[in-house]
Amino acid sequence: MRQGEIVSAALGSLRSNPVRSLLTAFGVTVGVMAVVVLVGVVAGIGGFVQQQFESMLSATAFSISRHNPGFHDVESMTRSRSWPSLTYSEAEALFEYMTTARAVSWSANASGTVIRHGLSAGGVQIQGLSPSSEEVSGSEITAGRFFNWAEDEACSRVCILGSGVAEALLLTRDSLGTSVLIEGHRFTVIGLNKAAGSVMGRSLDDNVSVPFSTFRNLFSRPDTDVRITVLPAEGVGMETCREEAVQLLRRLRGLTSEEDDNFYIVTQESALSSINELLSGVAAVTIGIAAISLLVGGIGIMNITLVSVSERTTEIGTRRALGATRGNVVVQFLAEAVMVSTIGGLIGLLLGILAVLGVSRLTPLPAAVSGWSVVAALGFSGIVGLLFGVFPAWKASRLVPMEALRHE
Amino acid sequence: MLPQETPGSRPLVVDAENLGKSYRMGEVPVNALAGVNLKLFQGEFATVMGASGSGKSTLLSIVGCLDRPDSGSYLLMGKRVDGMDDRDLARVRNRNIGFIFQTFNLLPRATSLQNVELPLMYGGVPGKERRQRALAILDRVGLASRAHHRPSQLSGGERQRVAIARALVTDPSLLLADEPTGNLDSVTGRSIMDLIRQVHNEGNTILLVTHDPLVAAMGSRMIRLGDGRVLEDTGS
Ligand SMILES: Nc1ncnc2c1ncn2[C@@H]1O[C@H](COP(=O)(O)OP(=O)(O)OP(=O)(O)O)[C@@H](O)[C@H]1O
Ligand SMILES: [Mg+2]
Repeated sequence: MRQGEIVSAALGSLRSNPVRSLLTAFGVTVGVMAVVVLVGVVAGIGGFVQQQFESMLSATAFSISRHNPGFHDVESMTRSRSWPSLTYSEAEALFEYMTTARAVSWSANASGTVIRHGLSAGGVQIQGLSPSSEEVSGSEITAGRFFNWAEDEACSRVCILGSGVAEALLLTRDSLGTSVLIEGHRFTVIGLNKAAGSVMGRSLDDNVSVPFSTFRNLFSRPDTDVRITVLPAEGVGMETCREEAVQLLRRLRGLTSEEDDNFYIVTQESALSSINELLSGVAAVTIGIAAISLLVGGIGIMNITLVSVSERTTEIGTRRALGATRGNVVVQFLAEAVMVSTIGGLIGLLLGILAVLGVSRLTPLPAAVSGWSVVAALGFSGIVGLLFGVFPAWKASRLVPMEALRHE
Repeated sequence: MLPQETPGSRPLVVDAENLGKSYRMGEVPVNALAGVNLKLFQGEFATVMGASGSGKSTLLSIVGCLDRPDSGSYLLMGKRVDGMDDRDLARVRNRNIGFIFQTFNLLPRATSLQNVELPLMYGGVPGKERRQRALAILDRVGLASRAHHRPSQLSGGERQRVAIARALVTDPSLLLADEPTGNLDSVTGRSIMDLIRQVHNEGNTILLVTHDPLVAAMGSRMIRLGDGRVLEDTGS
């Protein structure tokens, strides 16, 4: 018997009772949808955070922060809330006194609007950066230059535009020296940042950088967090450098030897490993949910196939009378089970993709459908159909043709 | 006994001896067949009569390899059938036997053409040849214009014609019909019997079960069953 005929024979119960078949495959639909959505959202968030880390922090540097970026248990989150913010003077002290660091930089963020000639870019991230940031951070200047210490000292109103903002204000490399209004303050554009692209639909280029001191004067609020990043000196291990920074900061904060650190040291490695830990936890939960729904779906598939076998006993008898072997009958009902299950899976995939798109559209969470979850979802729904179709198909094939024909 | 019906002049299609078949109904075994001998020569048109429950359908199912006898021996076209495995039996049903049922047994979602193609499909006949043969045989039963109709769009008589076409399409050695007119009114039944007689005249061997003496009279031989035994056989 040819493929086409197997398929069209298998479509029998689907065509005769599509609603019933699809309701039975609902478990498979839910299972597949759960996998696609969870994997999509979690992988999206993971990828987003990971890329941000990689672009913010080079592999050799570490940063000191009140927050431990990534995902955390509630306990560590509430604990860190009571910690003091890192301050500019702490950053300066580290800069002054550290002997094992090649560079110490500090930065802070605010959000605001940039205007030029009636064109405006809203929701722009305003970054105050120490002049030493150039050495530490990964961002590159494509035109113009970074600000220097003199400008920082003088609180000069100079800025470097992210490519997204530059585009919105119709500024090109020829526009260096022109002025823009940042939250109403006039700044001279001295540089343009290279486009960093976007992560999961969110642009990394909607920002403007100004000297830290200028930022402190104009945009800082009392609760603004300073983030300090340290690049170890050539030939100095990350451990040594980190230990010096920790001890220095503990002394500055007057912590006794019994007290714990009240700040986090974040390395690219530690950030990524905490993300990966979370992701693997979620993966385990996802697998659990998927397994349960696929099991429920599988039992539904088995049920519908058994019903189909008993409803079509006369048909089985007729086919056998016309020359169908047991194998032909098995293949027919297995194909039917696999098809119902796969169609259930396809619907789940579709709903899952819609849900993922919805999440990425309507919430700030980045989400994306990953290729392997699509393949896995469809593969699994097919396998579920196969596994749970075996018994009904086998049952159908064991019928004595005469008995099947006598069936009312 | 007519001379052309001796084993010497015509090959034996069915050669069954002492067939027994019993079913268990709870504790009590029912002897559906209790030692039936049946020899059918090529070109014979035998009809089977008998009271309800006398074993007619059971006999037909064993002759048609739809079930195995509990005892006795059975040769179809000179080949032993009683010991065959399931796969070989399926092949025998496909190649050597054509079935016509009281309830037509067409696949409801398939067209006439697809129904007639079904045995060829199981026989591995390639698509194009299958189609040609099915169309030719539909034409022979007068239903060329109904090739793409589904059973629900056909009258009872037309359905049975499609079923007859399906039984004939593999050019079987033996045609088995279990009350083929049982679900039809008498006029339609007569036209179906005319078709079956025509099929017989083309040289086919037929074993037909009926309750209708008029139908039974159309055969060249009549076998009467009672309680799983042959009570009367006008042919042997
Ligand atoms: N699967 C079965 N289980 C139990 N008993 C059976 C089974 N099949 C047939 N029988 C019994 O075997 C006997 C013969 O049945 P069969 O169907 O051959 O009769 P029949 O002559 O075709 O009757 P009818 O004219 O009503 O069709 C009956 O008594 C019937 O009840
Ligand atoms: Mg009967």
